Amino acid sequence: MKRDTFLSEVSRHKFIYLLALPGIVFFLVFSYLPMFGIVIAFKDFQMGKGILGSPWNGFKNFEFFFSSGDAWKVTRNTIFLNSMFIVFITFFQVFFAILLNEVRNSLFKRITQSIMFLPYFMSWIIVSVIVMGFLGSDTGAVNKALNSLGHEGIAWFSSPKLWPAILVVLNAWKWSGYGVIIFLATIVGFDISFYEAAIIDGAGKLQQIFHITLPLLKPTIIILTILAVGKIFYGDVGLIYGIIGDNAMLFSTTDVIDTYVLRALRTSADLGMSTAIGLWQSVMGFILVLISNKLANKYENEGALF
Amino acid sequence: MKRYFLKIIAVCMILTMTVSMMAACGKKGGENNQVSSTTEVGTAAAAAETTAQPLKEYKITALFPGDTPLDFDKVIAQAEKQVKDSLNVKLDFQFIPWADYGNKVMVKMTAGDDLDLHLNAPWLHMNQMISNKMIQPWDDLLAKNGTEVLKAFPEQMIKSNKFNGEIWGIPLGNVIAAAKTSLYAIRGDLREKYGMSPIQSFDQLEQYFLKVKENEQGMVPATWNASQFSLFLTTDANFYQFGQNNANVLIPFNADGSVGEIKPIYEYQGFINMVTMLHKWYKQGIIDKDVMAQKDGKGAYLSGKAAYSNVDFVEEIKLQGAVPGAKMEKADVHPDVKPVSDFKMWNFLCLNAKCKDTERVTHWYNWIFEDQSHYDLLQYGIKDKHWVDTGAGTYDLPAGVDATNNYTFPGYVLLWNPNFDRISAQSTQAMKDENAFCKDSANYTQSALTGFTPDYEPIKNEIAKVGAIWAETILVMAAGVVDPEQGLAIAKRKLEAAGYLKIVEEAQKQVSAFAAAK
Amino acid sequence: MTIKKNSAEKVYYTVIYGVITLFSILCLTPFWLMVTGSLTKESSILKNGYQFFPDQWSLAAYNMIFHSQRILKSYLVTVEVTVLGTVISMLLTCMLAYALSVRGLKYTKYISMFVFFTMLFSGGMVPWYILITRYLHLQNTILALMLPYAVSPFWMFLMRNYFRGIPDSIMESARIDGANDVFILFRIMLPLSLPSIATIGLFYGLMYWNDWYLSLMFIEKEGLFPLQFLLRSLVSNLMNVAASLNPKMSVMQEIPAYSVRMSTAIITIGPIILLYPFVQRYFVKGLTVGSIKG
Repeated sequence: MKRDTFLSEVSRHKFIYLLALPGIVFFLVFSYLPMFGIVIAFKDFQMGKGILGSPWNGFKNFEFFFSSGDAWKVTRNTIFLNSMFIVFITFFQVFFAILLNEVRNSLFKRITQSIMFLPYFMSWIIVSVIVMGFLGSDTGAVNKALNSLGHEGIAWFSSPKLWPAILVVLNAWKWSGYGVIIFLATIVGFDISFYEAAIIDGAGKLQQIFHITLPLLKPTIIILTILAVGKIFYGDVGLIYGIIGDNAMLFSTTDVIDTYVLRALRTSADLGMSTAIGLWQSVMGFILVLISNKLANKYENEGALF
Repeated sequence: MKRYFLKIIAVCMILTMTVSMMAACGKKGGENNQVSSTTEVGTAAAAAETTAQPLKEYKITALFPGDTPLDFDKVIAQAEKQVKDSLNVKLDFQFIPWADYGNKVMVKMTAGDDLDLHLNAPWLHMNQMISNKMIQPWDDLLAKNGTEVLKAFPEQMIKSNKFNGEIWGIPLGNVIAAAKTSLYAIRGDLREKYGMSPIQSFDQLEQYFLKVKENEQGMVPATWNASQFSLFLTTDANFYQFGQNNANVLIPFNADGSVGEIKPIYEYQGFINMVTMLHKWYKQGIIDKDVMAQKDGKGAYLSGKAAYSNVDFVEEIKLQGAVPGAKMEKADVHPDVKPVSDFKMWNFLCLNAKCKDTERVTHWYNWIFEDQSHYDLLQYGIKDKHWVDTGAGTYDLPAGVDATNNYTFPGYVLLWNPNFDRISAQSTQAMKDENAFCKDSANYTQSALTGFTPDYEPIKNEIAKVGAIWAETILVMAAGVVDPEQGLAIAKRKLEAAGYLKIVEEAQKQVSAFAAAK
Repeated sequence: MTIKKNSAEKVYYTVIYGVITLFSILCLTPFWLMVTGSLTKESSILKNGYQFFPDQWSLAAYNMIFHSQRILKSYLVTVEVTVLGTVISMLLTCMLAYALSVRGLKYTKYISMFVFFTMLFSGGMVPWYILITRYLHLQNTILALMLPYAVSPFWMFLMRNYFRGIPDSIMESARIDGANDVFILFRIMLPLSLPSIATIGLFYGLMYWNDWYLSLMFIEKEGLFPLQFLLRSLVSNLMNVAASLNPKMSVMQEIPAYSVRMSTAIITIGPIILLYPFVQRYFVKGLTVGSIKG
């Protein structure tokens, strides 16, 4: 009986499943075939024996992280920072997308949209030089400005409490232009008749934004958020290691799982250990996605992942 | 119409893709092209060959870090031509950017790709390669077919660079030992300006720094990259580092090269003295306030913004470009102490255990050292095109050749050798002196740990745990930022919780075992 | 009434233009530093750092890069990979995204899970490398630079989201008229989705343009190295020439180590920023306007 409905469903919508087939094959080949490598997380990987031949060692690869006493601290930082990133970056992306949408002058729109996209291309290594130029204790532009106003300079690079905010600002700066492109493409697809009807009813610009644009953007925002939640246990190494580096003074608020593991395995490059922690990060992220997806399904009609 | 056209293109593409993928699956991965040569073999170098048979062409594959030098193909073509009749090898040398080299080598070796030669080192994954038998020792091969190689090296060098008694990698160095660790590069012109005599102790160094702070606005006396384990490690002149860069035990040497007491780093007096001094300097404003965030300490010195760095004389010209009249000078704070050395090199040339023709590879490597001209070809390029011989073991650029647009081969990946290497004719006297010093074993006291091969496998968990917190416990003191009064106690607590004592025990165990076995 | 509305609108637009301009300045300034950094004489950078208006100009950084004979070939490789790769990726992605965007089907939910799972779980570098070299034999072929990244789950889900934004009624009426789903996708959905196609296509294009990892892993033959790999190699090498013990003394101070880092970034970003304004016209209003009345 079960087989019957499977075949009948597929044949009824055969073109749809056919269209999906090449993509499915792609993932089967390039993602699922190599996936058996995950077992390295539970093995004492030895180059000479390969993946299948290396001996099992249970959960030993997880030990260095979980018995360290710092596991909780870096995990907390990772989740906190990533949550801040999700909230603020999404906010600014939507904010600027809506603003740009209101702009009438096409030339201004095109130029500023291109300019806003530029930060996406700047590597954090280069940005860190600029950050140094701003926040240097003696030579930094900010402290110099503070001094000229009669205030004492701030020791930026030894004040951990300031850095979550600084990192959020930097990340929002980098990703706003990118997000504007995504959201603008969505906004542009909205049916104008909604807006026309609203204008006839006497709605002002702000009301249009809050009652039409934002609700219509919800599915996009939700799906982007769920996808980001999946990675919430993964620290943004490029950002954090590029900007903070080995400045241990700031670790209490900025050290994330990935930078911690990077330092631990920098000189030994043990494949088993790095795979193990990566597996844990993935599993946790996956669980969170299942939860947030369920919530999305419950409270919103659109936008859930599956 | 447009849409149908699009659809047709799409279908064609998918078909092409599928077909080519299937074709690729059917093809055999073509590695070594075995092309039979018709020329007779008559080699003078391979004296062991008794039967003259046409040698099939063999491709020597190698992977190195760096960038492919300009004109590399021309140099290789020359090199291949010179051995066409005797060895008939093709040289397939690939370069990978430094940052990615370690990963690529590991993946290739694990996957079993054809890779005869590559650079490796204890600071990379040579120890794993040895214990997993991914590479093979050179001893027998050199004895049979590599006599010139053995002759090329000072005896000391080969002996001191064995791993567990065998030559697992050809040591690559153009000197036989590192320069003294008690050398600190300062600004000689400033020292003279203050009327100070050459600096010979930490106290005098401190005087120098204070004078810089007083007199030079806009300069910070000392700054360095926080990520490097401090260049100010210990007040002792000589020591050995057991462990990795970010998880180790410092073992001091006595003047005769014997091993001193092995203690945890936070109980080791040399380290304690050093970080106490560094903290004093930090409070005095000698050390950059932002030193923990510094990412380009050398750049600061070379642009005249800092009065100290761990640069080499090679870069002095940059300093002079930024600050005319500046002079780089290395102060030796332990002028009367001879450096202790185990003569271990930083880089090794490793031979794949699965190499298909080890004799040929060894023969070819031997060829390099048969004649100075062979070494010169690979290291410096085509004579009179890329370099000129200026006699007495020196070389220079030909007239009109732009240095940034010339053949530059990173010798330390393949063939560096103290006896064959040339010095640039444009070296400063300081560079020449340093080079000569590092080539003379009389300048060094032999370390009791010569030939010692540490094994970090049993403590790899501890190294990982300690490595993760090294920056916040030890590096902060080594940067002078944290007061050792509290810092040492905190370090002790945290490091012991991370299993540091096991590393110390292991160090004691292995060192005593090595001493006993001698 | 009208006067009030006008001044309120004026304030409204001033704020909007003002905020956007401010942010644009924040985005442009660091980029400007990069541009000038790539054109500043190296000795000037050493002395004065990066300046907004360099005191000494120099094309040395660009000369150094374009001198390399391999640059032209690598540009061609990159362009080929970007164009072909984007087309292949868009094709596969749109087909899959459309299939998953149709509501009410029984198994598409599981296919979505199947795809999403790969975003989080991976077997790592070693099995992936072995698969592509030992089993698929893609090394040293141009396919190696395109196939492994052909479909991005993230962008596929984004595309699915865009497709879902198109009213169901359009598809319904097409089905009633007897169209099958392939027809619907290619002749109805795609024309209505120009902005989203432009968006996702842009992102794929950027990915192929910027990637150096695939060539690092799978290319060892001259003639197949893309631009990014060469540039990365060049920068890495320069850093080491500077530190090598074989000094070419008199010119050491002019080895454009810092400025080359900037110029490699500019060379990468340049073509994109120049191209982007021309592509922007596709990001205009879609064609759903007025397609459904009543």
